[in-house]
Amino acid sequence: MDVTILLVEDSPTDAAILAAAFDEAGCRLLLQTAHTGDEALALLQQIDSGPSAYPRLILLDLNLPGKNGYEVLREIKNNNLWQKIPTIVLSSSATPCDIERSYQLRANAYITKPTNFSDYQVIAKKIYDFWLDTAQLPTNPSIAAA
Amino acid sequence: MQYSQQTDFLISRAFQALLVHRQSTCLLVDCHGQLLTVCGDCLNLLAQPAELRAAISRLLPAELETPIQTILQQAQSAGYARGGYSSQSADGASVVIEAHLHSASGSMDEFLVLLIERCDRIPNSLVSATPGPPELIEVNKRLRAEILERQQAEQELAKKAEALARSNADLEEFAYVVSHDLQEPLRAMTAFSQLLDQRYKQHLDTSAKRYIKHIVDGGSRMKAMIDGILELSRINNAQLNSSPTCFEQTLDIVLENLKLTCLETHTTITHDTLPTLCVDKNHVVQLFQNLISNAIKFRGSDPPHIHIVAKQQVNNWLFCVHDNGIGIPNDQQTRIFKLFQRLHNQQEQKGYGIGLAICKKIVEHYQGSIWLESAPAKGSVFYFTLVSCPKEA
Repeated sequence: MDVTILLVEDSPTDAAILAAAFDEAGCRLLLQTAHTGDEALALLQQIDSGPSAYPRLILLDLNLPGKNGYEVLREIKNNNLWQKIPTIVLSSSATPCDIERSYQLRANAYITKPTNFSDYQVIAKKIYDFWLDTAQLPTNPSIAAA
Repeated sequence: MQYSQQTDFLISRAFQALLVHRQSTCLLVDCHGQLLTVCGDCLNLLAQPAELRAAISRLLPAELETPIQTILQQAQSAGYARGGYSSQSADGASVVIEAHLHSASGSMDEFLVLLIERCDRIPNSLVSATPGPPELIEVNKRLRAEILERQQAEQELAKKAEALARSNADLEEFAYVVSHDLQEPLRAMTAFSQLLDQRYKQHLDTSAKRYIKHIVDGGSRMKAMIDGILELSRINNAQLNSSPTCFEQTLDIVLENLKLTCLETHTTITHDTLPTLCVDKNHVVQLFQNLISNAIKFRGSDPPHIHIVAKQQVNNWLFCVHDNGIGIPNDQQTRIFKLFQRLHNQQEQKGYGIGLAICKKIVEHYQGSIWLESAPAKGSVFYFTLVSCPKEA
């Protein structure tokens, strides 16, 4: 079964670029997209009480309508179950204070969105290789709780 | 005691107690003689209801009208007036009337504080209260006018400072919008064109591929410009680290950054002794790197030679960056510091017209200036001045 990644991204084009980048890089995964922070949190809550597994990785945009990326990040990292899911901020901003703040809120990594598709492809491949193939991650909480 | 609303309340209570103790009425009156506030009316002088904005002449006992009007008028021109009045009525009490003019502060107009205090006997000094010699009043008037003028000028200045702060905040906001919102459509344009090229390679002919290249090139130019705007807007906003920066060490960082370019172009870079100043290190790197890169980019037929000199002046340090490049005609010399202004077309020279605009902004951040001396085929000398620790200067 393909691993599931949760992408929290309001821009359909950015989501499509990332999906194409994973695809072109030959990474087999299921990219589940939430278009707002609230949608992402609702999805995680659903998993809390349902049979499906948590995503293996969360890719989080900062500039979201409604609840912004920081607020979503804070909620994820303050939740006993969700906090174990590696959460990577994927933002247009390369501003030092955005980076600083993300790590303060315990983001697992911060990546600035590139403009070139080839750069996207490289990043997609690196994310896949490191976070889904190399890194040892804690046992999926839903399985652990079962 | 720390200042708080609680303090305000206590002061107000103490003031009320004082008014009762001194048997005084205290009113705030505007310049047209209209009642603004009743701070306290322990003498029960006001006719009820004492509506705000009513003429106080209508609210106060008729017998006090003339003396109060006189005092108010005097206070309006002199800033302060005091006088006594003995009542002709049965209880025979006397009052001392005092008025102070308070000048405009913030959004408030001028107003007068009117104090009426009961006393057994009017002090001798007030019995024959005269307004003073006419020339003194005249001088007073002139002084007041001058003070008013100065206050207006100060207010004007404060307004301008506020407008400037607002426009800086607007710029910050703009930079944020640029960094997030403008990059998304740009990314869509560039990335999907590239994806098109990558996935449908076999189906595209040469001109289709050339068109895609134009789109992608345009996109990367726009990206460079957006990055330039961001960098420019960050200069004044960044949390600066103004600890002492050794310019020689910083120049070494720049040389390391430009190592490859220097090797490729056979550039030699030399410098005299450089100082240590309290200037953000990143700013110094940007300054030198932009100036040196330009000197290399616009080199002449000889291998580039760049020499950097620093001289201490009375109030600042003067830096000179000499090169033996192609030089810049006189009439173009001010233009080059403007954003996105380029002297060469894109085929001749790569660049976006950002580097020198950033240099100018950095130098101005430290209350310095930047200029150049140059002539075609004679090389250029870029000069800039920096004040160490601008906050303490």
